[in-house]
Amino acid sequence: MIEAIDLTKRYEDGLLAVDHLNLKVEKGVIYCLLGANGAGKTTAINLFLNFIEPTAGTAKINDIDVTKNPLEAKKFVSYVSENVMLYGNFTARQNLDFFTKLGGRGDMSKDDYYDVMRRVGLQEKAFEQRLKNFSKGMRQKLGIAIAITKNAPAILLDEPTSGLDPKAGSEFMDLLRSLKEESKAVLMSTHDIFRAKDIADEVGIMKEGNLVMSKTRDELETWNLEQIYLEYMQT
Amino acid sequence: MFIVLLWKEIREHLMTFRFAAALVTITLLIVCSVWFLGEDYQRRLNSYLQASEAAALLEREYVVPSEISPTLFRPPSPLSMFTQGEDRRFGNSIQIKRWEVPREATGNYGTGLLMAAQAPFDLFTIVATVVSLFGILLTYDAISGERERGLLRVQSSYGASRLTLYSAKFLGAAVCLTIPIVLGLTASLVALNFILDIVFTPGEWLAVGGVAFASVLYGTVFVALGLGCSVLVRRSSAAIVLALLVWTITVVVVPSVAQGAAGTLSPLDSQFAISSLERGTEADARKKHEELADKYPAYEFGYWTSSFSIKSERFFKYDSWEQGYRDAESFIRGLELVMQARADTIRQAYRESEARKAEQSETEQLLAVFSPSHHLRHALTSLTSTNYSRYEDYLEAARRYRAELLDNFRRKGYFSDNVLSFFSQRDPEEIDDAKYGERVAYYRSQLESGKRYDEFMGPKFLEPVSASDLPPFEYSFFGMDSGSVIWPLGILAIELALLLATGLAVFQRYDIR
Amino acid sequence: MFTVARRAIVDGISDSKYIFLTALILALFAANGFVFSVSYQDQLDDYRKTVAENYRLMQPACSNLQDLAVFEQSLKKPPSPAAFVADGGRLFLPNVVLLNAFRRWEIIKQHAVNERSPIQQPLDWNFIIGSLVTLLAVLLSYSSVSGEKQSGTLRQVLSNSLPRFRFIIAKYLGLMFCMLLTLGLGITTSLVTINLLGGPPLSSDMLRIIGWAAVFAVLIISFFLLTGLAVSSLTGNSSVALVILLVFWIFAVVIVPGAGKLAAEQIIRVPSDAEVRAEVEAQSAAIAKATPPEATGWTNDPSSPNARRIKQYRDSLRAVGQRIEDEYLHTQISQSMLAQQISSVSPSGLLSDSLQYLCGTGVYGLRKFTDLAEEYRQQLNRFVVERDALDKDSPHLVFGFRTSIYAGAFSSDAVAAASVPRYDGLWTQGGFHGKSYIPLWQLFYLLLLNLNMGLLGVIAFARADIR
Repeated sequence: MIEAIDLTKRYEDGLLAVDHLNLKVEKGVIYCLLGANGAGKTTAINLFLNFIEPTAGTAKINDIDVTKNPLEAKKFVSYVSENVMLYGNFTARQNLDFFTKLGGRGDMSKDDYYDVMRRVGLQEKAFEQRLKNFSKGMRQKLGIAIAITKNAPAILLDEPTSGLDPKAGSEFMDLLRSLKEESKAVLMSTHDIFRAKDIADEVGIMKEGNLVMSKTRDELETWNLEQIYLEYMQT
Repeated sequence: MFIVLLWKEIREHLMTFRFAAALVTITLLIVCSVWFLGEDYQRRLNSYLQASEAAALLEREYVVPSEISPTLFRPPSPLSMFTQGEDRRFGNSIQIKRWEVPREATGNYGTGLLMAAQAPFDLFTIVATVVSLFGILLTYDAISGERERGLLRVQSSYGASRLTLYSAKFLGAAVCLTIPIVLGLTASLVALNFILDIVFTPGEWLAVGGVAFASVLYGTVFVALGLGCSVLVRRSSAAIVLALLVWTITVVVVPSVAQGAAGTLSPLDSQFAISSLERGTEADARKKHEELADKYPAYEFGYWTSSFSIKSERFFKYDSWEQGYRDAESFIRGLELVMQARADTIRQAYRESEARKAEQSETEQLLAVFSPSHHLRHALTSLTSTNYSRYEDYLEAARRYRAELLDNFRRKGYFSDNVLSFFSQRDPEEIDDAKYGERVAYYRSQLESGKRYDEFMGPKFLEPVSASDLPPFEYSFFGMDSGSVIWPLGILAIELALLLATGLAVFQRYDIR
Repeated sequence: MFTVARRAIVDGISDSKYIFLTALILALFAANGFVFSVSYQDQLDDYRKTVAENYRLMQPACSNLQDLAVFEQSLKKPPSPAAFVADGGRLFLPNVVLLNAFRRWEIIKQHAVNERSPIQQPLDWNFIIGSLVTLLAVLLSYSSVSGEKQSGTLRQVLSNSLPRFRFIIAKYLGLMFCMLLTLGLGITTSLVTINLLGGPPLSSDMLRIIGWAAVFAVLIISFFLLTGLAVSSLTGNSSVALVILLVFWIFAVVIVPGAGKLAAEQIIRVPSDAEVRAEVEAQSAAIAKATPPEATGWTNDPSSPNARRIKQYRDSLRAVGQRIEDEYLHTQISQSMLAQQISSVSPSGLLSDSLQYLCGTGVYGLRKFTDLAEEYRQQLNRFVVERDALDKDSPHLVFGFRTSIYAGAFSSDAVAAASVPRYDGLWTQGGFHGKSYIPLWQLFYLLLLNLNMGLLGVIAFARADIR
C-alpha cells in the first residue's frame, strides 16, 4: 500500500535528507519510523505526499507512483501533520465537514460527524467550539477524525504524539489500533520509542537519511528496542 | 539593562526585510522628490527674477502719476522643494490699481493651471503616507510577536521591567525610522547644494532642521501607534489590521472628510452673490460718473487708462480759468469719492467672505485634530513658508503698499495740483510755489497760440514721478511664524505621549505568556 | 474546488478586518452620495442663475448689434451629474469663460471654495475604490497562501487530490466574491443616498458611466487580489508579504500618480504667464513693424480710407494674441493629460484617468468646456457678422476689443433677443460631455495586467514550497 523504492532526496544546498529508502507498508500494518530530529523522517513523509519531488527513486501509494500521478495517489492517502492547526475560526465540526468534502465525500450528515468525533474521543461540548480554544490533544484527535472520514486505505502521521500527555497519547494509540483493524496501512514517524514498541508491527530506524535497521514485531520481541536505538544513534 | 535592550532592538530591526524596504523606499523617494522640486524652484526663481527686473525697468519709465500701476511679485519660497504647500497654487503678481483694493494674486511662474489644481507630491506626501506606514510596520508585532515566540517571558525572567521593555522597543524602532528620513534629507541637501547650487540662509537651515524634526516626530507617533496596537491585541495578524485601520482613518480619510464636513457646518457665501455686488456697484459708479460728466462736460475720465483728461473744445468755452479750475476740482474730487467708496464697499464684502472662510477653516482644524497628517502639513507648510498665511501676508503687504502709494500722491497733490496748477488765473509771478509758474505760463501761451490741449500736454512739462514716490514693498522670500510651527508640533507630541502612555499602561497589565 | 472557494468566502467575510474596512467603505460611499447631492443642487442653482443673469444683462445690448458684438458674456460650466464618480478636482479648476463674439478674454475660477483649505482628494468613487477598496483587497489576500502555509492547513488541504492551480483559483474566486460584495454594497449605498437626497436622476448616460466604472473597479480589484495571492505564494511568509504588498499599494496609489505629475512637468514645460505676455508683445511688435504707421493709429471716422487698414491691423493683433493664448492653454492641458497617462501605469492612476474621461470631469471636462466655449463664440460671431452684412448702411468695421468700438463702426440694427444663440444649448441634457466609449487600450492594459499577475500567481503557487 505504502511503498518506497530507493527513494532519495538531495536538497539544492547539497544536504542528503533521504538516502535510498526502501520500505513497504501493507494493509493492516502499523509501521513506525524512528529517528532523531533531522534524520529524514518528515522529509520521507513529505515525499510520499508529493510536497517535494525525489531526486531519485519512487514513492508509491496503492501502487501509484506519487510523482507521476500525484492527484490519483492522493485519493488513497490521509495525512495527519505534527502540529494540527487547521482553521481556528471554525468549529470542530465545520473543519471536519470542510476536509471531508475536500476529500470528495459529500454524503455525511451532522450526526455522522458527531459519531466520528465521539469515536476519536472528543468531548461533546467541543464539537461546536472554535478550534482556537482547543488543546493540542484535542486537535490531534480532530486530525485523526479527518483521516477517518476520508476513509483512505493509507494513513501518514508525522510525529502525532509529540507534546501529548500520557493519557492523550494512549488514547491516540488505541485509535490507531482500531484503524489497523480496518485494514488501513499506517506509516507513522516518531521519536517516542516506547509507543513505537507498544503499537508497531514493523519498526524502522532512520539515521542521517538512511534506514539503518528495519525489523518486524516478532523479530523485536527478543531484542531490547531501547538498546538497539541508542546503539544505532551512537554509531 | 535598558541600553542592552535598546541595542538589541536596533540591531534586530536593521536586519529585517521591512527595515531594508523602508530605507530604500523612503530615501529614494525623498531624494527624487526634493531634486525635481528643487529644479522646479530654480526655474520659478529665474522667472521671478526676470519678471521683477522687467517690472523695475518699467517703473523707471513712469513719468506721469496716471501711468503708475506697479506690479508686485511674490517670490517662490526657497524651501518649497521640501513642501510645496500653497506656493504654486496661488498667483504670484498683483497689479496695483488706484481704485481697486488688491484681492487676489494672478499669474504663475510656469505651473500649469491643472497642476496647480491638484494636491502636490512632495516630501510632505511621502512622510505623511510612506513614513507613517513603515512606522506601523516596524512595531505592529513588537510585543505580540515576541510573546508568540516566548521571548517576552525570557526577557522578563532577567528582571527587565515593563517600562524598560516598552521604552526600549519604542526608542529602537524610532531610531530605525529616523535613519532613512535623515539619510534622504541629507542626500537631497547635498544634491541641492552641490549640483543645483541652491544655498540656504541660516534662518532657512533652521527651518530645514525643523522639517527633519517634524518628520521624525510624525513618524514616531505611528511607531507608538503600532506598538500600542501590538499590546492591545494578542495576535500580530490582528494588531496590524487594527493599526492599518487607524492609519487609514487618520491619514487618508479624516483630512478629506473634515474638509467636507466643515463645508457643510460652516457654509460659505455663493460666488454669485459677490459678483452681483461687484456688477451692481460698478453700475452705480458709472451712473454717478455720468452724472458728474453731465455736470462738468469739459472733463473726462477714462476707466481703462485711469486717467483724467480735458476735452479742449469744451474747455475753451469757460469764461474764466477760475471757473474751469473749480469745476475740474469738483469733478476730480467727486469722482475720487465715488470710486474709492466703491472699492471700499467691495473690499468690505470680500472681508466678510474671508471672515467666513476663516471660520470654516477653524471648524476644519477642530474636526481634523485627530489626524496627525493634518498637523504635519500645518507644521511643514509653516516651516517652509508655503502656507496660506504667507500668501495672506503678501496680499496685506500689497494693500499696505497701495495705501502708502495713494498717500504719497495725495501728499504731493499728484491728482489735483499737477493738472490743475495751470488753471490758476493769477499771474505766474504771484503763484507761491515757484515750480508751477513756468509751466502755467507755457500752457497759457500754447493755448493762446491755438494749439490743441492734447498736443502740448507732453510728459516733459509735468512733474515727473520719482523713485521716491514708490513706497518699498515689504515682503521677503522667507518668513516663518513660530507660533504656527510650535502649535501643531505640540499637538503631535501630545498625541505621541498619549499613545505611549496608553500602551505602557496596558502593557503593565499584559499577560506575557 | 468550490469547497475551498466557499470556505474562503466564509473566512473572508467573518474576518474582522473585512467587516471594519467594509463598514468604513460603506460609510464613505454614503458620505460621497450625501456631499455630492447637496453640492450638486447648489451648483445647479448657481449655474442657472448665472445663465439667467448673463442673458438678462445681454437684453439691452440686443437693441444695437454693435453693442451685442462686443458684449462680454460670462459662460459658466454646468455641473457634471456624474461628478460623484470622478470629481476631477472641480473646485480648483476654472469654470467660467469670459468672451465676446470676437475674442475669448479669460478663463477664470468662480467657486465658493475656501482657499485657506489645502487641496484634498475629493470623496468620489475614484478615491474610495482606488485607495480604500484596493487596500482591502491587499489586506484580504496577503496571508491567503502564506498564512495557510505557516499554520499548516495548506499541507492538510493539499494532501487531498486537489490540483494546485485549482486551489489558487478557488482562493481567488472566494476573495473576489467578498470584494464584489463590498463593491456592490458600496455602489448601491451611494446611488441610493443620491436618489433619496434629490440628486440627478439616473439617465441612460449615467447608467453607462456607472457600468463602465464598475467594470474598471472589478478589474482593478482583481489585479490587487492576484498580486496579493502571487506575493503570498512567492514569499511564504505573511509579514514579508504584507510589507511588500503595502509598499506596492503605496506606489500604485500615491507614488506613481505623483511621479507622473513630476515627470510630465519635466517633459512638457509650461511657460510662465509673463513669458506668454512677452511673446504676445513681441509678436504684436513684429506685426506693428510690418504695418504702415497710419494703420497702427486710430480714427473715429469709419468712412475714412484708413479705417479699413486699422481694422485689419487690429484683427491680426487679436488673432495672434488669441493664437498664443490658445497654445498656452493647450500646453497646460497636454501637460496634465501626459501626467495622467504616465500615472496610468498604475491601475489606480488608470482608474482615475478613465473615470474622468467617462464623466467628462478634470482635464477632459476643461478641454471640452473650452472647446465648446470657442464653438459658441464662433456661432455668435457668425450670427453677428451675418446680421451686419444684411445692413447696407454698416461699414462692417468692428474690431472686437472691448473699448475700441466707436459709434458707427458696425450695424446698429436691433436684434430679437430670442434669436441670439445661447451657449447652454450646446451642452447635452445631462450637463456633461463625457465620451460614449472608453479608450479600449485602457481596458486591454488592465486585462493584460490581470492575466500576467494571474499567471504569476498560479506558477508561483504551483512551484511553491508548502512545507
